[in-house]
Parts: sequence; C-alpha cells; structure tokens
Amino acid sequence: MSAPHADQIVSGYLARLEQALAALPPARRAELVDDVRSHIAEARRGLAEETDADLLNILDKLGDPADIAADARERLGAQPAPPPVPLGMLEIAAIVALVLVWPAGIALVWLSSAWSRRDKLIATVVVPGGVLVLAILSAVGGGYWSHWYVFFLLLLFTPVVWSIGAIYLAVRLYQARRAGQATPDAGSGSRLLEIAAVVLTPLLWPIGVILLWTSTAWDTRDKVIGTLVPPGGYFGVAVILASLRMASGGSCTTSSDTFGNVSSSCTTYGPPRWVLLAVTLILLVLPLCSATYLAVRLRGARLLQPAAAS
Amino acid sequence: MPADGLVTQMRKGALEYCVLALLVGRSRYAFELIEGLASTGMLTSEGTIYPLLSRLRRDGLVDTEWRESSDGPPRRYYRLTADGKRALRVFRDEWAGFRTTVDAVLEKGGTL
Repeated sequence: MSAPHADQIVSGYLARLEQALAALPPARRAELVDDVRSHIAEARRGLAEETDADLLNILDKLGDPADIAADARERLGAQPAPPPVPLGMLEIAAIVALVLVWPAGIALVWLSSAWSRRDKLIATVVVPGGVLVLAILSAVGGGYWSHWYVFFLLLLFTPVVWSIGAIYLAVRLYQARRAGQATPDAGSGSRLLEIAAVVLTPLLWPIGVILLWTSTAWDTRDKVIGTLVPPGGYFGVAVILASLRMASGGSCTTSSDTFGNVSSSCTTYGPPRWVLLAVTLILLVLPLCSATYLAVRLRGARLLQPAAAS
Repeated sequence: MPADGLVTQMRKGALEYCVLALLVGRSRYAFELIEGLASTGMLTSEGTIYPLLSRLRRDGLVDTEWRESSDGPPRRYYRLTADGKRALRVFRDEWAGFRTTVDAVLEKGGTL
C-alpha cells in the first residue's frame, strides 16, 4: 500500500535533486537521479504499511538534495554550468544575412554572443581571403585572365579549396578542445598562434603553413592535410593554366589568298553575360560555406550544454 | 573551529576506501553498503554514497553489474576491480603509517 501522498513526495524530491545537480554533465546527473530513485524504491519495499511519515523519513536519511549535489560536485569535479549558448532571432538573422547581404551578416555575427571571437574572426576573414587570393592569382595569371573560363575555374578552385582547408583546421581544433586533449603548449597563451594559422592559411598560404607547423594544437596528420590542401588548389590552377596554354586561347584562323598573302584573324572570347551570373553565384557560395560553418559550430556548442536545464 | 573542516575532509577521503574495503571478496549493492557504513557514522547522509560510487566507477576502482533480485527490480552490484584492489592496498599501508606517526606525536604531547 502506497502512502497517500507518495507520488508527490517522491517526485518532488527527485525534481529538487535533478535541479540541484544541474552543474553535472547530463549523463552523470541522470545516473545519480536513477540511483536515488532505486534507493527510494528499495527502502519502500522494506515497509509493511507505509505512511507519508515513513517516506519523509527515507528522504531525510537520504539527505538534502543540495547536500548530495554539493558532494557530487566535489567528488565528480563538475564545473559550474556554463551560460547557455543563445539561438535567437539575432543568430538566425546573422546566418541568413551572411548568405544574402554579407557585410550585414558579419555585423550581426559580431553582435551575437553565440560564437567565440575565433569563430567570428574566421567567418569574417574566409571570404575576403578567398577574394584576395583570386586577385593575386589574376595579377599573376596575366593574359589568361581574359578568358572567362579561366576566371571561372580560378574562382571555383582556389577560394573554395582554401576555405575548406581553413574550415577543416578550425573544426579539428574545436574537436581537440572538446575532447580536452589539447597539449600543454596549446594553452591560452598560444591560442593566438592557432587563430593566426587558421586565418592566414586562406590569406597568405606560406605564412599560414609556417604558423600551422609551429602550433602544437594539431597533430601531424592535420598539419599535412592543412599543408597539402592549398597546394592542391595551386596544382589545380596550374593544370588549368597549362592546358589552356596548349589549347591557346581564342580561335585563330590562318588563311592564304590566291596571291600568297597570309592573313590571320583571331577572335577572343569576351565573358558572356551569364559568366557574371556564375561569378555572382560562386561569390554567394563562399559566404554560404562560412555560414554553414558557423551554423555547425553553433549546433556543436549547443550539444555540449547539459540537456534541458531545469 | 578549523579542525571541523579537516575532520570532514578526512572522513570524506577515507570513506572511499571504506567502501572499497566493504567490497573485498563480495559484490554488494548500494543499500548493503549504506547498511555496512551506518554504524560508523561516516556517512552523514545516505544519498552521498551515490556520487561516491559514481566517482569510484569513473576512476575504474569498481565496476558494476545488474543482478535480478528475488523481490523487486534488478539491483546494481558494485565489484572491486584490480585497480580498486591496488588502491585499497596502497591506502592501507599509507593509513597504517600515518596513524602510527600521528599517534606517536599526539601521545608525546601528553594529555591536555
């Protein structure tokens, strides 16, 4: 026979315990609440005819939920609960604006507190970095720049590939920090190094790679990938340039008339109007990359929060 | 009184090893452990055994196993691991030496 108010008494106690344990990781908290729930059930089994007072005695012996929680924090070394990562109108607006109106999106990203400064920096720099690289390549590329498809392929290959390299490194760093396996050298003092490496990899590749290898935050595999991916971009561009050199841009027709005069006429391709459209599309894809990255990061940060803080 | 905090901390620290000692030779479930400790007065509130057991499990000093009980739902039994036995052995030696040393000094000081 259950006591008249058994359910209210027990569920009230367990609710207070769960609330007091909010600082613990969700799995630990669930385990402790389960343990205490079984304890109460076990203690009640020993009673022939239970009354409310019997139940209250069981709970008294168990102790104040706040005391159990304090003991749990001490024994299990839980940190106080971090402030929840917001996902409000501002964050949604920032991600949407990042795709549609890039400067406005960046402004909103910096206004939000949902991302770390590092994430904000990466999101801000990746797109201009890609565009800057493109500009440098166009200057180096010289005459080939006039061919619209070279322009198109440069756009496709370099910034996207380089951005992926940077995003990959940033995600790896995030994973390492999440797993708590950061090497001793990768303390707060050298965090600036990682930021610089991630930022400079898309901007000034050689400097970025030097910083990348100086840092201890990534393992060798990551460093190799981070080093090889941008030259992969270089390589792709080189192959395209070489193949175009062979194909020799434009079409030239050489004809000799009946008098033996040789005349040649060349037509060069001007960029058709739809190329501009394609370029615009690509430029939209890049912000999309960083917006997706921010969204993934935001979700990851939210997953780290204790579920359903009461 | 500063000694209060010290005694509380000593009791908390020693409690882990008392629980390990209760598990020597036999697995027990939490309720049995609480009964075993009841007479010592070391467990100020019964509920604090659960964070302690969680900690011991996390540190790999005990592992757990669910067993059917004759009169209700299954119970979680706690069992010493090899690491747990080693930790208990080390604590026993340390404790014996510590107790002897402190006793000797306290007795030398004479009674108040």
